Amino acid sequence: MSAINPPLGVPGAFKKPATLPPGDNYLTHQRGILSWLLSLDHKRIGLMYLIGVLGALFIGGTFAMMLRTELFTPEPTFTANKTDAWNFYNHMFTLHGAVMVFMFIIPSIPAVIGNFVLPIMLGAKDVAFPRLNLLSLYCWIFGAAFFLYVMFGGVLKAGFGIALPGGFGLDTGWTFYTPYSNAKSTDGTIAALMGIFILGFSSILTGVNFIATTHMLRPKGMTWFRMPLLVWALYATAIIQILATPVLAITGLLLIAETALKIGIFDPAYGGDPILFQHFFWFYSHPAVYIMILPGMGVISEIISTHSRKHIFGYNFIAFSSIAIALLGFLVWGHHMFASGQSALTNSIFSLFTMAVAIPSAIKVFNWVSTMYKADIRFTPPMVCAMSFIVLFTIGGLTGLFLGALSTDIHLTGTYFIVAHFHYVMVGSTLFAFIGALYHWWPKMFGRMCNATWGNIGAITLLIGFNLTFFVQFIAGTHGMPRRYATYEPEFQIYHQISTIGAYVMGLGLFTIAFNLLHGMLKGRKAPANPWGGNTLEWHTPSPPPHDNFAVAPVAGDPYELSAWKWDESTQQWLMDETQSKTVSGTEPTQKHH
Amino acid sequence: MSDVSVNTMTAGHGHDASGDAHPLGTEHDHPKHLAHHFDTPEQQFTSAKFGMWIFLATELLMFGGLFCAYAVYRHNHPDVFLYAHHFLDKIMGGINTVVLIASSLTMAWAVRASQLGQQKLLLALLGVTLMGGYGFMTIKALEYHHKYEVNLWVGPYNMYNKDFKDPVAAAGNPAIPNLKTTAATDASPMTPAVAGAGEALQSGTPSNSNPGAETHDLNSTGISQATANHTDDIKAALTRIGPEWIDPNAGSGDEAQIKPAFVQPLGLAPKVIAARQPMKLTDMPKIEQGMVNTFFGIYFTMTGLHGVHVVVGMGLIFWVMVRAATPGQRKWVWPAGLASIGVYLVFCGLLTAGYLTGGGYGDAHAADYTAQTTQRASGTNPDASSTDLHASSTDLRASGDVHLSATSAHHAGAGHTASMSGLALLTFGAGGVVTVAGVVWMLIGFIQGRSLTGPGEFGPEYFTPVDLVGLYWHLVDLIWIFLFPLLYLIH
Repeated sequence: MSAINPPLGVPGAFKKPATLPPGDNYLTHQRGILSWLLSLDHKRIGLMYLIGVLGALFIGGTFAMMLRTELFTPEPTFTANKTDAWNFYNHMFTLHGAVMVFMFIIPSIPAVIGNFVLPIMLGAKDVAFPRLNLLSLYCWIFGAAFFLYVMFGGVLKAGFGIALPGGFGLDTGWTFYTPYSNAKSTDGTIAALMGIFILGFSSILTGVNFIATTHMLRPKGMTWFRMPLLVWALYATAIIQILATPVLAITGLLLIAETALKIGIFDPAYGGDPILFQHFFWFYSHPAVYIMILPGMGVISEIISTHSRKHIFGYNFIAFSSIAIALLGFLVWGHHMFASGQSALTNSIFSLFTMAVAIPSAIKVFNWVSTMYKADIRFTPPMVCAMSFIVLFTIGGLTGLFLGALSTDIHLTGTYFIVAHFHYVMVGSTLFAFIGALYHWWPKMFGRMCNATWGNIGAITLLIGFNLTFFVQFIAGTHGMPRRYATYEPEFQIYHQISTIGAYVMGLGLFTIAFNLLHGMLKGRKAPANPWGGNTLEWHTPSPPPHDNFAVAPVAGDPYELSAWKWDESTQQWLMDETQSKTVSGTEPTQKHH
Repeated sequence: MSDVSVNTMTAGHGHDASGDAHPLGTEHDHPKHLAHHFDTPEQQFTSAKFGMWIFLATELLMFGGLFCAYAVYRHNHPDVFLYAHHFLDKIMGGINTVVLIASSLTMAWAVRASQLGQQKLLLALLGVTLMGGYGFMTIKALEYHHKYEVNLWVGPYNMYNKDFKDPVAAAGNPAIPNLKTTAATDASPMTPAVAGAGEALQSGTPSNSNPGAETHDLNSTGISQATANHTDDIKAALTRIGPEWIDPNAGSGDEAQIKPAFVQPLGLAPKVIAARQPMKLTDMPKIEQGMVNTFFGIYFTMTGLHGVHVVVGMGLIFWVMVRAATPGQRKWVWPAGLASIGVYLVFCGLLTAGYLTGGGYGDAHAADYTAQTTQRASGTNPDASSTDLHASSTDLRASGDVHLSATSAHHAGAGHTASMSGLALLTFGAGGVVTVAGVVWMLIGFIQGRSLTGPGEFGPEYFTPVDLVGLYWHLVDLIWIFLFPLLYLIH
């Protein structure tokens, strides 16, 4: 690394890096299991979320592998009997989708990375409402446990004939469409919806916390336009969380009320309107797509700038495009319903707004690429993930235009094309952003570095596996392979087999990454306060940070002014050259009264 | 940065509990209520209030979904709403509106009292607000119970539901007479028509074709024809004194419902009068008839969810009361809260058992009502039992006491009397025990509490929880102010 790093300046001019006495940080500040379970510290809550979210990823991923295994041949794989196998498949893909969406992607970056990083980036000691933060974690745990129990019951029953009490399972798909979820439902709908309701509460509480924290707890010197772009993205996400999630909650409650009491809201047999359910559901779930992608975009903005050693290009445009995506996201839900019998006028309006979302999305991509242009790019694991993100998000975004255009959507809706499209956006983009974020902030979380070579190998394996799995699904989809089918015509077999092999490669990549992260956490070399040379405030405090985040209340400058940070070869870390630090954030001893 | 400063900083954790340790080792004053991550009490208060407003926004969005569902159904099926809302009791709903607005006033006053440090007034006003909540829930329970008694309850217990089952009949108490055996001598105007509606919806055939046609002829000409003539007379009379209109809420028939127009419907006069003619179930297209059930679905979901919010708000008010009380007052505030729950449970138990709504009054009351309605019916139509749903609801309304009359009529048919069983007994018993325990504890608390002195938690320095709970309570009030006209006062 030293060869490409700028030469060291005059030694005396360097500010001493932030350090702590050995063994005193937020991880060691208090000991015992209860000091974790009842902690109000946003960093510990973030780590507890991390454990849960990775568990959800493992469960959802396992079921993804099982789905792909089932689809390797058109014949039933797990049971000899076709009816049982198809039933089992229905439960599996519902579980895969619902766990991944509600338990993994939605909380992944906001609840884990956001919780850990956002208050530190804002120079605050904690989020505005620490007790609500802990409550949101327990809402998540309780909702997730409830949800998983119900779903596993169904899988066990369908696949192995084991009946759990109350574990009815869910075979509606993650979208809970009526009449699958009312008239034709297995009995698990009510319990599963209650799980979603509780998970939604967790999401709302996190959103309330982030908005209040961003408004109220910014440090001296941090104007709105000196906030890191991740904070902008999390803020935009939080707006969606508080505005959209309550609608999902009421949708769930109405569906519960209807199923339990037979009162006719969505079921035509009792006087209800099934299309109303789709409107309700997508009014939440389309903005929820942006809950999934916006925080990832914020992460990418941080990583691209830091690891390209260059000020972010077009800060204002990236910041406002986050808000624009959040607002436009509320106006496009009808594009999920082009084939539901909406009027041509309605369809056209939704199509127009859908196309409009491409503008702020493209603004982001162009600005990231411009940031990298002629920059001093470091191929660190976070950067490899970020670059993969840009490629995959571009593919996912462009194929979204096919689906936003009315005439092509009618042909492609309900096929593998759409499966491939949203996996490119949700997995290709968000999962890569999440892994990139883990690599980027892992040294801050645990105070140790991961092995960069193995990190890159894992990320590239994942990238290859991902494209192998999902690119062929675009082709299968255009040829007419319908989604959610457990079997298929022989002509589709080649696509499914490539896809299944790709899924195994992805699994391999994910395990490589997991072992790399674990190894780094336990055995990696000690991380300095600023391992990447970033200038957002979290790099101004020791790794791992102290319980109160900062010894002295920090003063914020331009978060992307990286020029003052120089690589010090002798101590293997980035140090701030104070002679150049006029516009740089710092921890000047301006004892801010607190 | 020196190691010393780091140590003092990290030692600062947990100063909320210990109260004396302080981060950064600074000397300035750190109020007890100021959390460690806020710089000033002002910052903390503003954050809390800001967070509360965001939360209230989520609440509005959640109810917004419901209002949206309401708007969709009302737009698609206006007839259903116009028809079905007659079954809601405007008087009860109106009283509840007044009760909630009054409790919002006392809540706002309580916030003011806390800001001024008027501790006793604060506690009293919070108590009054809580009583307002109980008042609301009491009326709500009466309304819901009435719906149950007249088979307008949720799901299969709603006579418009295609799976309708009479719960009382199912329990071996055939309060609603069997259609085949109902004779004209069954003078209850409510029950045959109700059963007929359920039957008609279930069978999917016009009710006229049923064997007991005279009993449950939904499209009866009897009362409506007779009163229509009467209406014409009144209309003719009223044209002399100015514009007039017919109150559609009043139902069909009865002359009491033809009122002079104190407020002239602007620009809508002749057409509106025609449109506002009371509607009968059979006037609606078949598909609309099947959707009456949805109105009740929306009604129960909206008011039920609102009721849950009222209960949550009451819990919050009680929590603030406990914190507002001095140590001495807390000795009786806790048990008083317990006792109030007990009293409410006793009320619910009695209500469920039927003691409060007719059955408990015995057959005398029912007979009284029966005589009254028979008279009314025979005055307008020789066939006493031939009536429609609408007329029956009108009769109930006209009798001046919806709950008593409806249920006594309901019970009169089967000679049903109120009795304690199952859930009712459990609720009543548990409520009684809780009440007695609460009262005894409260008496002990009174004696013990006299010796305890100390301030309440709130004053001019710190009143955030009172303020935030007040905001929540106003939201609950506001939602009801929208629900009431949307559900009860449809025109």
